[in-house]
Amino acid sequence: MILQRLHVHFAIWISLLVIGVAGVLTLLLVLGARVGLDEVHQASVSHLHDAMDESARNSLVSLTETLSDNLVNPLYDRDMLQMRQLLGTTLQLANISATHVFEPNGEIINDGIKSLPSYGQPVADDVLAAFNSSAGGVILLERDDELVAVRAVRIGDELLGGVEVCYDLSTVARNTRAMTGRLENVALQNLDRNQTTAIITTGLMLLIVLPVTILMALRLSRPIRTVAKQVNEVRQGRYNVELASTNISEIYQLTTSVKQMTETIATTTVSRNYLTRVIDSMHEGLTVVDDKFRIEIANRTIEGLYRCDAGELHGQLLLDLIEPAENERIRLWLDRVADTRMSSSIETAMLTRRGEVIPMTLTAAPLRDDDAQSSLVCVFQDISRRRKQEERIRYLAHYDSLTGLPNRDLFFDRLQHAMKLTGREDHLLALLYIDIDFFKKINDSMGHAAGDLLLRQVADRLRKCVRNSDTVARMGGDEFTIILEPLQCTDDAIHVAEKLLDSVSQRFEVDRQQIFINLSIGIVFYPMSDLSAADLVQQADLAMYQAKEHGRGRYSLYESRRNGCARDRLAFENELRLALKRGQFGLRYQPQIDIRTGRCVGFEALLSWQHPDQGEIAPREFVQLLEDLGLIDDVGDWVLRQVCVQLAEWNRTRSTRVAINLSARQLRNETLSERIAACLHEYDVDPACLELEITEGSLIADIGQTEATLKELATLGVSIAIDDFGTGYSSLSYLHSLPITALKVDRSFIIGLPQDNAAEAITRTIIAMARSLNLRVVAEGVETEAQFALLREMDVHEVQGWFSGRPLLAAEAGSRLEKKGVTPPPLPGGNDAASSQSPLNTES
Amino acid sequence: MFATTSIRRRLLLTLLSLIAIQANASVDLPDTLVIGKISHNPKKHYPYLKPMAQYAAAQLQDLGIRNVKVRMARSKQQMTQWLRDGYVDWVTETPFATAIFMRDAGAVPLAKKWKKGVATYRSLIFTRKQGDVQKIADLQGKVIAFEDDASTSAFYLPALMLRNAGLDLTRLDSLRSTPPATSVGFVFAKEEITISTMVHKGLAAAGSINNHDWQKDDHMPRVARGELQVIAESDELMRAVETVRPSLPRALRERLRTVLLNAGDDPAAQSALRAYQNTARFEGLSRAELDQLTLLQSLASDLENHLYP
Repeated sequence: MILQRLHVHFAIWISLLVIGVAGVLTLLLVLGARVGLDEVHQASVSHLHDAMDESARNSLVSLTETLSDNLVNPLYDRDMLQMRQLLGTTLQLANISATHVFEPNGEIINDGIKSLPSYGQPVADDVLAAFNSSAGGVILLERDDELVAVRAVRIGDELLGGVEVCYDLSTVARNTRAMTGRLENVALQNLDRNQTTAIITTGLMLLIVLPVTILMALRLSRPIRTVAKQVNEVRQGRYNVELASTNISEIYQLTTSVKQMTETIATTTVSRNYLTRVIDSMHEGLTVVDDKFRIEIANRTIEGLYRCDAGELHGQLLLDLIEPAENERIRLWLDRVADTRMSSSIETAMLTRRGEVIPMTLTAAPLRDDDAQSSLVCVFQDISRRRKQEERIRYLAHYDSLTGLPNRDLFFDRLQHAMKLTGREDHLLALLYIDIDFFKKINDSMGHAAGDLLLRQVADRLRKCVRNSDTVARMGGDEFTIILEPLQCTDDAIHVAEKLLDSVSQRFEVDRQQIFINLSIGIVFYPMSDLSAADLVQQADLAMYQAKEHGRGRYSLYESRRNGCARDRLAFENELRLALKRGQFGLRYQPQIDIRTGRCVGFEALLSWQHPDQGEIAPREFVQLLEDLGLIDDVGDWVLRQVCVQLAEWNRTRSTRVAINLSARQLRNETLSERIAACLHEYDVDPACLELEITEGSLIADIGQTEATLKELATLGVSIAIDDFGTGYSSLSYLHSLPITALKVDRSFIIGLPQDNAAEAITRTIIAMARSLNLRVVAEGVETEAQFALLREMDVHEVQGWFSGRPLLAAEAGSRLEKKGVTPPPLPGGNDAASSQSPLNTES
Repeated sequence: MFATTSIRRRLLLTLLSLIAIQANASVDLPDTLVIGKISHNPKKHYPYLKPMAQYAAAQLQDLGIRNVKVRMARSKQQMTQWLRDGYVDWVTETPFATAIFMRDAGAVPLAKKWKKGVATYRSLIFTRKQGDVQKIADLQGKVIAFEDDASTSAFYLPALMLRNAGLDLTRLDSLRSTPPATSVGFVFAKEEITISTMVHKGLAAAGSINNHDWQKDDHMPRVARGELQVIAESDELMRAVETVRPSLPRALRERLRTVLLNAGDDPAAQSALRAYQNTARFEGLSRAELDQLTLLQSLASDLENHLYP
């Protein structure tokens, strides 16, 4: 509704009144002038027509008289040329449409036209009649559109003929019309001038009258405006306004009523401003929406949340504030709140004007209204902080805070999920269990902070080696797991493992120190059997230990016969317990060759288990289990005895040396030296022919006990060799303090020769160090001629491996001893690493 | 002696020839070419002559012609005098008038003119079909209307035809005069249309116009033609002839003749030719036609002797 101000109202009506009166007066003046001008115009036209008609008649009579006089001689002489010239001249006069000279009988002689088209034709009857009745003057005949003058041509009394001249009245009529038109134009112009004058006069009147009208209107409306202004003050909450007094009765009554009303409001009403301040002070965003969910009221908080200007939300749909994906859900929820008239809360998200998505708790409650309108009060509460905290809690619950990798819980979730997927789809899953070799020593020597830094870097490298779809998790300490899924074949997992080994073997830098580490990785595949996630992890863990046993810095695939299901494992243990009694263990002898002479100077005895069902089982499969079962000492004694028996046999013909491996558990046995001494004595074997191989790890496990045992053994005269030298603990002090006679360079260095410069450097260093300590150096795992040649150039003492000789049965070994030099056998198609293992060595 | 006389004679002849050449060389060529015609209506004929004279003058510029002038005589006597006096250089007229200029002024004919697009024409004598003159002989005691005394087809030829028919001719002062019963009275009506209407209205018993005018409504109204008849026709005669004064320098005269003879094929001349009474071309006069002109002189003299003894 468009409101008009009172004085405007007054001004309009008074002005309309004045304009109406002025307009009517102007109309009357104009109409009067028009009627007067019409009358003058009619009179002028009539007079003009008469005047022109009279003029035409006079002209025609005069012309005809002159023409007839001039025609006397030509007609008398019958001079056609002159007649034609006279008539032709006449025809050229204005309004003359035709002229003829005719015989007394009315036959036309000449018409003034060169070709004489009317020659010989009779004149009109009325012309002939007029001619015959003519007494000598001009006779005028009136026709519809022409005036015809007829006169006889005489010479003396002789009638020569007649002449007629036709005057075209249409021209007169045309001229009359033209003149009439001009008169009308003049009249209309006069009328226009009169109208313009009247309008200007009216306009001037209005210009004068309108301001006066407005002044009158203002004066009339001033008291009411004053009251209205005071009421407006009250509306704005200023109840103490002083109402103006007036002497106008009606206005006085109005002022009194307003005053009373103001007092009532002041005592009974909370002002809207107050409410607005309250609403705006709320921490939550508040809106009131109508039944169409259009916003009627919005406080400043909601405007701030929505990032819009004040008042901008008014009229906007509440749903426009909601993130579009949530829109339909919230609309249904609002409908439900409106229908049930029950307040409710819901978590949703607001999409701000700037495109930010803010999580919100939206609470809607019906507004209690007397007129039963279904307005809703909607309150938005920003729950961003709470959400972030929740997310942080969730994150901490599922992720490792140090590396940012999924933790054990999340790992198991993902593993179970991946196993389900794998069960449904036709692909494989691989689980890699990873442990950092000798991490504890790094922690101990460099401190936990450095260890943490190293763990982070390792985690980064692991992450970079796998796909985004794969999961790398930290299980705790220095243990990690990786779920590779999906996989098309097992080789894929092996490639990943190799990639991980390669990546982590690269240098790390922690606290400005360079660190080289290796990983031991156990790999298990699913679905290979019906396992739980925990079983799968356990298998991977076992495989990882297997890798460690095989020398660390490598991966190992889980094999079910070793760590199958509990039932299988129990059966396997029982079979292992009985193997010794059943005589299923056997020994193979791998030659050790003097690199200078090529002669076989000794053997390393390698244990094997001839399983009745599974065939020959490599020692890495069961040595750890022998230790776990406490059988290692019995089996160790059996090996010792077997070697001593064989040495006694060989020594009868030729002296040689046989090395056996001792585990850490055996070393810790205080009776070890006594048992060895007894056995040597029993079979009358020279102690110098027996060599005991121990690993670096075994040495440091209990260095005190080990040192004592080794010294006792040295006293017996047996040789002591450090097996897998270079891969274990790098403290070399024991080389000096312990009665060690030989070092066996680990195969991991030999494999890289001759291409791997680092391996070559390490090998050279070990050889040089050993020589400086007067220790014999044996290179393990020699498999190629190039390795053999390089090691000879490095001046190693002895070599052992497939190149110089594969593990042999006792009889074969005896035959080998008879040979004077080495004839390296051809390399086999693959590297059966297991076959080169010591009987008690779990490393591959 | 003989030899001396012979030598003197030769010397004399040589001197005379030189004088003659000198005299010839001293003739002044005019710078204005004056064309003329006998006319009762100078206003009508002036526009006919001026463009033709201008065209010819343009071709004669190398001979000193710079201006043109048109002069129209009221009668053949006046024109004869002008030719004789050198007041006009070049006249276009019908054959009998030309013959009279040759006879009385020594005018020289240059070319035959295809006036109004025709080379020849004939003279007709006509009467009313319902009248009492059905043959030439019936004209005795009657009035015949001619054009004027210089007209070939509307005076000389029909008058000679009447004379050849054995009729005498008497000129009447006016149409209303009564002719002698023994001869044919004649009046000059000046215009063909007047001749036609005089006969048609019975004011004259006969009239004479040429065969081309007979077909034109402005000379013979259609109504009148239907009520009139031709009772005699002359032989074909050349339509018109261009003549020059006898004193016109030969070089100028011959160049003018060449210009006229070539005008029919000159695109630049076409506009002037159309104005010049719609002339199609000019042709050279044959020996026979020159002889004919000589004959016409004789016939004209005979007629004049009859009329003005």
